[in-house]
Amino acid sequence: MSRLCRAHEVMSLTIVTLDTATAVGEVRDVLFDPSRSRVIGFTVRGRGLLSSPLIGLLPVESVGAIGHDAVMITSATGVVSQREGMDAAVAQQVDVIGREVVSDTGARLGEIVDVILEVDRGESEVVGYEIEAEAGRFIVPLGQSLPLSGDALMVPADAEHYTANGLHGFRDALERARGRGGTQRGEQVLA
Amino acid sequence: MIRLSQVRGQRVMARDGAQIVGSVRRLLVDVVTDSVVALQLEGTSDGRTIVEWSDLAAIGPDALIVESEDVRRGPLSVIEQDFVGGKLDLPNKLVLTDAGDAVGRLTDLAFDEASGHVTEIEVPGHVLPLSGLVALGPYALIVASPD
Repeated sequence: MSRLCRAHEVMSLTIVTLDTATAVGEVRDVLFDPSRSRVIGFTVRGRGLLSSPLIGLLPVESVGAIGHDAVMITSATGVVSQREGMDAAVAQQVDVIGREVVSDTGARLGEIVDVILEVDRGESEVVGYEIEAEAGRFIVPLGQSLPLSGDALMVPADAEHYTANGLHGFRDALERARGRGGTQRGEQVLA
Repeated sequence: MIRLSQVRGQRVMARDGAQIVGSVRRLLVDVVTDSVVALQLEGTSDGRTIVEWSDLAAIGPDALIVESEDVRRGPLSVIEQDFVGGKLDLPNKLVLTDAGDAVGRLTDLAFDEASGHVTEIEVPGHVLPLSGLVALGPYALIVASPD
């Protein structure tokens, strides 16, 4: 059964091997492919204050489960060095946090402060963006892939009608966004 | 049924010479068979500190009995070296499910004294029927997620 969480909750989770129950590092960053809204992996740092800031990359294929308290991987070989792959994917990453959010009719909505993930064992999908606006924070569900560049995230003008103001209630907002056929005024979800 | 807390510190005595061989320092759990398979002695004169659980001739309220102190041996594998080095020590070990959710810190476990098969794990406030062990290592004891 899938669950919703913020990307910031995944960052700093301990990465534990399922074969030897050893902690091999911590999640530093979440890497995702905006065009497919899929998490493709994680950067891994050492554990502790004096540890290495980057010890490798963890492709999502090596992840057995993402839990509340740890990311479980099959074995320590799941964490690879940059030379072994994924460095191109890292180079293509756009820093999402702090990105401006603009509607497709040209209105500035705010800035992205977090990314909402739907996690099902080792798989995780980007399903929303949490946005800081003048009026407060809200979450825009991703019913479909939204254009994201180094400049901004562009959302449909009617996206505001599908927002939630917290993870509680966001599941309903997500289902509405996924199933929408057109503008449905008055269907704003405020949990 | 017997508990880890009942066994730790117990004297181990040899039946043939009636002498104390040592006392139980820690237990080794095998995650393939979900069983206690060995104990480590303290108070011995050499590095032969491992006694296999199957070598126990009796488990009494005041002592564990082996036929002879000759059943003692040293570590034979990396796992047993980690065991005698304390890396696999069970008390206070973080218990994690294979889904990545923390259950708590292990306070005790119950197992069948004849077979060594582990039946329950205790963490503060909870006694958990064992759904299967996945791995035991320096960081955690990983258990199968309940269905």
